[in-house]
Amino acid sequence: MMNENHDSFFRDKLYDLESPLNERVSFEEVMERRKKKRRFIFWWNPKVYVVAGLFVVGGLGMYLANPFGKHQVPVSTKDLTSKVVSANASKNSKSESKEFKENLHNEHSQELAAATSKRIDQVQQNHLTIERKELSNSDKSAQFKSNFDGDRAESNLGAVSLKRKQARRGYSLLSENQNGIFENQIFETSKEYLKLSHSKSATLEDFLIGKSNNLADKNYTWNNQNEMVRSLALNHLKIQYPEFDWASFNIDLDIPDRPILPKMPNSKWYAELSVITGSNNTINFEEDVPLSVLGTQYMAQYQMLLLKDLENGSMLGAGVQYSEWVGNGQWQLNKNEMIQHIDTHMVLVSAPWQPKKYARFIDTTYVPANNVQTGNIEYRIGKISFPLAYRFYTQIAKTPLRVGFHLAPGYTTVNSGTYFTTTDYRPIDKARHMTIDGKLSIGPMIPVTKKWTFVIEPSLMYQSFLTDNNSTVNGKFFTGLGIAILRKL
Amino acid sequence: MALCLRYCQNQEEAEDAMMEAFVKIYDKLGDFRFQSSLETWMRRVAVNISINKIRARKNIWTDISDAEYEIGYQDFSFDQLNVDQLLKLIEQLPVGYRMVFNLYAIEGFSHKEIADTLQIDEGTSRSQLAKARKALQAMLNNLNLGKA
Repeated sequence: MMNENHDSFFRDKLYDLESPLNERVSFEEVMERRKKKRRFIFWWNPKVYVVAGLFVVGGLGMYLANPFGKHQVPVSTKDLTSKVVSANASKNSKSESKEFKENLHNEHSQELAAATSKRIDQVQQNHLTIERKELSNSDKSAQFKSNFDGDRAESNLGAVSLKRKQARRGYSLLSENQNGIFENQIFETSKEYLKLSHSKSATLEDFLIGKSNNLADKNYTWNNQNEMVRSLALNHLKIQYPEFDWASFNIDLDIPDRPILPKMPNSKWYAELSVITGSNNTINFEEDVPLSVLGTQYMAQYQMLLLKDLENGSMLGAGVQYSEWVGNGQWQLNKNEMIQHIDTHMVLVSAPWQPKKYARFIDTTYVPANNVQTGNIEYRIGKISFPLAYRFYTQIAKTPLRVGFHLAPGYTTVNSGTYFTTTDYRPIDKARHMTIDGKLSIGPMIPVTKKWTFVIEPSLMYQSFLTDNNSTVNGKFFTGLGIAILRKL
Repeated sequence: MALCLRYCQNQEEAEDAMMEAFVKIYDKLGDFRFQSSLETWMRRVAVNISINKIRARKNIWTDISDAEYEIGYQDFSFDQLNVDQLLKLIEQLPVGYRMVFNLYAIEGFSHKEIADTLQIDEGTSRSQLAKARKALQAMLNNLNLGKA
């Protein structure tokens, strides 16, 4: 009851107490702080970086994974080249037609067909003499084959091969009087030819006429696939080849309406998303030291990486990661000291013929005491880091394994509470600190599809942040388990 | 301001806490659901901000031996103490004692509410309050002795 009276006394005196304010406390200051707080949230909120990173990596991944979708680079005819010319009779065309089925861009193929047809008419009308060579005495079917290198040849994306099959539809692009005249022919296209075919057909005709007139001076040879190849380098041999009748030239440019899709080479780029958790536990106080701390510290890390295959069983890459680091513990302070013990008592002093009086006696003694103080403690750190990662791939007993390592400098985005080690603790100031993280992991890889691979990673991690003008490193090792998903781009 | 001053260690920290409280009140005013009076809600925000500041600063739960306060109890007359002296007494309390005493004796929180707010056990709250009272009594006793 007395305690309640004392409490109510304090409440009455202090509950509605007003206290004078300092000059710096003002409404304007409050508004200024509010603005700063908002700016802080906008610029330094880690979610902003994570979302931005996801967009960047996702966009890059989509682009690299599907460059011929909406980002398709049209195969321009200006770089197309024809390097192989061969001819055979048409009798074998049906049996060999399958091997000629290749993709060709519709627009270019139609232009090419139209231009070739015009060219043939032109040849017939003008009675041009073209160098003709008879490849064999038999009546074997003619074969036409032309290979095109695509636009992406420069970037090693592979050549586009174009083969055309013989006529199978019962009609020919040639006039009737040409049908049935099958000889082995040579047809040559060139960069210039196709360039012109893509631009102006009138120019094409002029070009072909000129080209045909010059063919008589050219020499031909055969490669090891029995294909005739024009080689300027063989000019000096002055080889004389048998002629053939160009007028018997018969060709069908029946091209399917399919787009040219250059074959993609194997990508060297990979995207990786990983999540990992770890902990560091201290379960007992250290009794030999005055101050000891026990507790549990957890961390979680979310990482995105873009990795390049170095083609020697390893990958190198970089990315962004967000880590959270939380500690909960208890401190204990052991102090052996002398405690002042005060005893007071009232003594009645009674003397004859004197009024009774009370005297207060104070007895002070010092007693040894083991003073143990304890308290709870916690902290929380969030940080953004930019890892430089290395991955090495190996195999043990037919199990594919991945060894991973990364080193990640960064900075704290959230830091609050009191950081502790096993023998010390100190408050973390609110300033942004530099951080250094590291991770070493090894774990099995589980291929899911050709492009997706799942990795389980037991890991050893190091988390730290720098204080005292980056002169003090506050770091801890964690053991944990993570999972990663690797996608080939 | 006086509310923050009772929790915080010094004038500057109390001013910081108060301004932070007003920033929070300004931002979260839309979330106020009229389940209590506006004044009570604002006080609660200020108390929470002050407690958070103390939590971030240092360890608050001290367990001082009872031997330090084993002195004879006497009934004091508080009426002779002015407000500044009362504030001074509270300021001299260890941080944990001060928080629990403020919340219980002055703000009128129950031990359960204190336990929820400070994330401690109810027993801890009770013991901290008892020790806070003892410490206050000891200080008052010394004050009285000094006067005598």
